[in-house]
Amino acid sequence: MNHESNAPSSPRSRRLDPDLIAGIVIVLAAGALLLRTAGMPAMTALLPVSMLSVLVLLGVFLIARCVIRLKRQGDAYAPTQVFDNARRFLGIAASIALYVAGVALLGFYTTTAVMIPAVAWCFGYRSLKGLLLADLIFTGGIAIIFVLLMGQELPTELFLR
Amino acid sequence: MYGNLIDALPAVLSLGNILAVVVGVIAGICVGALPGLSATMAISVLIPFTFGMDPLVALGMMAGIYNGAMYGGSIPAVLLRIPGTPAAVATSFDGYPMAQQGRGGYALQVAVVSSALGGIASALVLMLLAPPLAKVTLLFGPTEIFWVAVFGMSAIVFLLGGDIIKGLISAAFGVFVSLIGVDTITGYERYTFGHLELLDGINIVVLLVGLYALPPAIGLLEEVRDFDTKNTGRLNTTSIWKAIPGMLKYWKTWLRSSVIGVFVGILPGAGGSMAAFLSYNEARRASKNPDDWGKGEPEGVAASETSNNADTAAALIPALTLGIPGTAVAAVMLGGLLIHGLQPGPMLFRDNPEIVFGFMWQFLFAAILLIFLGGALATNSFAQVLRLPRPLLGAIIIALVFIGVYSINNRMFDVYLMLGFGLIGYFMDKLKFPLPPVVLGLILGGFAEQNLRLALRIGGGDWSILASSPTAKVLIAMVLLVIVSPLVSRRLRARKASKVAG
Repeated sequence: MNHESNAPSSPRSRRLDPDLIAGIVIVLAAGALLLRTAGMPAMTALLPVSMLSVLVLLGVFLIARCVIRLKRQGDAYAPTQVFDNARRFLGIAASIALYVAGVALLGFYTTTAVMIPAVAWCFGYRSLKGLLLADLIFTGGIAIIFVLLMGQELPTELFLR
Repeated sequence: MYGNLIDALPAVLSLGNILAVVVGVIAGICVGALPGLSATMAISVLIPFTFGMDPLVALGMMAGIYNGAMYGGSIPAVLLRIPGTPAAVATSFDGYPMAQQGRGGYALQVAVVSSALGGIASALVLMLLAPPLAKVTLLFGPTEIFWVAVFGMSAIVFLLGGDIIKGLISAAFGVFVSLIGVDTITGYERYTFGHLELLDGINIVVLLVGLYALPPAIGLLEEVRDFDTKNTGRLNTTSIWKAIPGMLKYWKTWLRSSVIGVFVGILPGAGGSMAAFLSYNEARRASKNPDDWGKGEPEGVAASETSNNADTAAALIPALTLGIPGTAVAAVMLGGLLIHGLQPGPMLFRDNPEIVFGFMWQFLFAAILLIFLGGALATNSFAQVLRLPRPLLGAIIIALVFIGVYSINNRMFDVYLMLGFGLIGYFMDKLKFPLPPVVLGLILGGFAEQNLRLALRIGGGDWSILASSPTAKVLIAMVLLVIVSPLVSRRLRARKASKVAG
């Protein structure tokens, strides 16, 4: 469980206000992208410069608002909670990354056939019969539609390359 | 003006197009019935799969999904008090008490009939209003089109409610994304970072799927939630055709809620939830027995469901005629039009009348189909969707999202890009940054830039050309009104509240 989210009024959680972090990220990213407009022709740079300047300005507003709120409300200030369960989110992010990497390395059908039951199992669905049936229907259905009906290629299996 | 409407009918009545609407409605009801999934998400997932389809078949599916999902949201709202879509919140106020009293089946029948009537009213208004409005907007030059785009973005940021700073950040981010790629006038590469895949800019589908389809899939895996599905067992319902005569007493509510839904739908930035709440409140105020509301009054279900479906096609009036989507679903639908090479706006009515008018017919048919597909047997079946295991659904949606995005250009780069947008969308959603302005920024950003530069060329670089025509002045006034009015009303509300407190 996310420790910070359970203790919104602790000094540590106040420092980690997600809006404040978002504001800083926006200012830094927009500022860095703004530097790249230097070499652009004037009309090409018109909208990028306007939009990125606006983003920097709004990011500063966002930061200033967080700081003012924090000062005004003190310990009563409760920042937005980002994660209901940070560990679970990290698990999902890792699963998606593994799936995409698996598809690129092993091929679509092999990875999907393994990933669907594995992910569903890890995140709480424990019926073996249901998992196998769903896997067969989904992966088989996609193969029928994409290979037989549409002739559309998905990343090729390692053993077929 | 309306001749094209009749001409478009035969194509819509072909077997393939009708089947597309039927499949769309069924899929939409299932998606709407699943809390956490929405029409926006379903259409985002569907769009890449429609590449090879005939545009009308693809649009028919989208129209079906939109209408079906708006009704589908009422199923968990009635049976579990968990709205399947945000627009179904007001449906749960009376629908759930009805289910507890053993009248859940009847509540769903009232919901389906009301949804169908709201959808029919909305489609008819779309058919009546869009063609003349498109004719007027055909007279617009680059200056006016630039201001229309600015108006669209301002409207969605300022009228959407919520945090204006975050809304503006979302819109600016969307416009920035639209600038990525080669500048078509000077040939200069903007923010491609040496990637050839970015030369043509970012495909709207990649952004839509990332923002709208991936976060709900993560949500399904993230939440440890088991629904109490005891109410979803066999519902005691009679045939819907036998139940309809008993519902005719709600005709005033149907009429009032349709008008509210259509009006709210046309307003950019407002959506089905606002329509449902307004309509529920008005119906309750007009009721002879307002004290019974919230305790299982079927008229409450009728009011909310009529207006959240009356919002659907009406939301497409500004989207199709001006290219300004007023809601997230309308924005996603515009994305669907774009990938079929159809540029939303007045030219669409001139260049592709058979498609745009056919799309309107499909909205009407989808609304009518709701009654046929929402009968007793179907209502019982759709209620079973709630028993589907959420982790399995989450895993399947991730795979579908992958397939959809990969198939656009058969390359992994788009998948990585989509994952990036998905992550951004997830955090934006959690931090309450609105997502519709991002999509609108992407759609209108390039459009606005192109027309601004064209206007400046026509004016020989003189910026005053932007306020030279009377139409441009009216549009500037509208932009200012949209920006100022929420700020003024917020200040007035705050003053009123402080007076009450004092």
